Amino acid sequence: MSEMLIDVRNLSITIDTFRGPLQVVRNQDIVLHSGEVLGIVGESGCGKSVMVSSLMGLLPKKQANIKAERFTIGGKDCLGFDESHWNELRGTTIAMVFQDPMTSLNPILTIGEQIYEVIHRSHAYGKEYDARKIALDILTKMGLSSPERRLIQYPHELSGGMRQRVCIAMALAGRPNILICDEPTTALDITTEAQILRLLQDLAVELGIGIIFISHNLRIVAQLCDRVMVMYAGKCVESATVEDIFNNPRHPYTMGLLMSLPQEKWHGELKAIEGQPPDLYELPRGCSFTPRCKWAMRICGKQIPMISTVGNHHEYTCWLAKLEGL
Amino acid sequence: MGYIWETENLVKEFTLSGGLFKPKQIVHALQGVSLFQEEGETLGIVGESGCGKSTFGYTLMGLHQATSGSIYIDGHKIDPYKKRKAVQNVMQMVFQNPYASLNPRLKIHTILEEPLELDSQYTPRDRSIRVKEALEQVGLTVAHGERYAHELSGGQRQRIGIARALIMQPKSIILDEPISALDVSIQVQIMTLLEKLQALYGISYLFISHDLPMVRYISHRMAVMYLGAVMEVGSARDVCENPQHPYSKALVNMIGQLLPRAPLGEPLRGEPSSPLHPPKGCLFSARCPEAEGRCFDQRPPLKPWMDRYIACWHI
Repeated sequence: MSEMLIDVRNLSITIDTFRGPLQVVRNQDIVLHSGEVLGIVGESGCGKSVMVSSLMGLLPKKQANIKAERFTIGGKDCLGFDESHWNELRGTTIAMVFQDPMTSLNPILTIGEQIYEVIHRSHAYGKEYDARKIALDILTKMGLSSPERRLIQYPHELSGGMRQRVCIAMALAGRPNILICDEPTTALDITTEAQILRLLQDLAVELGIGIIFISHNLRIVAQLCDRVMVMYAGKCVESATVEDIFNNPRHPYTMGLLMSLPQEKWHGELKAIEGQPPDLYELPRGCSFTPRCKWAMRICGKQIPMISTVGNHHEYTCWLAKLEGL
Repeated sequence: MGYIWETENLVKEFTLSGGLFKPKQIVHALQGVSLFQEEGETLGIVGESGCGKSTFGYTLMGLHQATSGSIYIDGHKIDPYKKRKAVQNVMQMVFQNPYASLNPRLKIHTILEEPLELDSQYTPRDRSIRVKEALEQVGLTVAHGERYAHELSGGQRQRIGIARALIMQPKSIILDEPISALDVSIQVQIMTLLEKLQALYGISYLFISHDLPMVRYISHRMAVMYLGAVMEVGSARDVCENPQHPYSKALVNMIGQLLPRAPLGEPLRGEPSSPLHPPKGCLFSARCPEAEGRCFDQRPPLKPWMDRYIACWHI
């Protein structure tokens, strides 16, 4: 049985804004096992980035109000953590790769200095270690050509794909067992994207690292992930194994997303989901997908549907489940 | 049937100004691109960033002046950089970022009216009628015309971008990455809108994007560009289902299938060569798995093969 790395139950995040409190994530469970790649899919503004930022303790303490029944990361209860606790955890247990490798590296430090910093802060290497050797080792593993030269180069001297590899190398330098990737390939070219994805897949398989992979590219999610969460307006509407999501989608939003991709590699007609994602300040009553849903019934606009479970932990929140007698 | 536009050996070079100790450098953005567009067809251009696909659109539209080569519109050679008027009724452009391409200080109807003011045959009354028509063509209402750009969502803004291109009733619209800044569900709304407009008005599109499945979906013909030159051009179906050029093959193999646990796409080794110092031989030779002898010395011309054109010594 694989180890449970993240176990968060009933997570709600409210952020104070100028227009008053805004509930960005509502009653959400997140579970991640070792060696598993969890994909999170959703449109921009659906709360996926805020959710994973809370797992890294990156939300501002003053504005963000995080509530949860359980909030354990790597076996530690993190709900009452202050900044020093988070600093212990970040980089050593949980690490993150951001979307834009152009802005997430420090432009005035060499690649080497930035990687050494992570190694020095990690306890995984004991008292005696050779930071340079470890860094070279990781960079080689990331498939960077001439790693010795990279160590003394500055970020601007590298291409986008190389920078993203350096970001992943930095994230892994502290030997974390959880890696969060927030749209790691969106800013990259398709040729580099394929290389980075290979790398991530190897990490999960060989090192047993649990990966949370946020993306809006369903094609990649299908290829890379083991389990998928589809989010809409701050809530997961469907969560299942990758096979169930793609072969047997249950929620109308998931179906809509799948219909809006050129299927079968090239063919098939595209069908758009009409309308706009809702304004989180003025969420519709009941199920928040109702205004865009083709199968919306009267009850959908009145009450929030409950979670229905079918098969192998295939969970979805839709009133259609009631019609099927689930 | 004549072509709407045709380019012949279009070359665009940018000069990087050197510093005190640095000599001037030349970026070879377009290295002899010859393409054409027929009436009512969609020509897709795919390639990695920096391959010159956007530069081609900009040069064709006259936003960059071509270094050499010619552009023909309706069979007449013109310089769009100097004769903007000759182009504006034939071609219009939609830009990538709908957040940056609309003036935040103007109301939408003012933005849409602006191009019409250049044409003296429109009276103010005609103009507002035309604006209303254009808004309806892209699925918006007159009420949207009274708003400012920041009051609209990304998808609505891109619709305004398309309406602004439509308003001059062009024969062809250059779409430079029109959907890459949008969400998936909104992308498809824009794609279906483009299809509908083409069916209704017979507009041609030059669809520039790096999203191969989307280009395949909307295009009749497709050109694959690498380092400022066309590697392969032919019907979108042929190029995607039976790619011949090693680079097109690599691109298609990188996509992989939309199936759970399908194998990840096959990555292409190496980084693209720098457009500052393009290889002497075939532009793709540095990364090509099939490259040999002649590929490194001589640049292959774009030769006809079956009913497409391919630039490779192996064909």
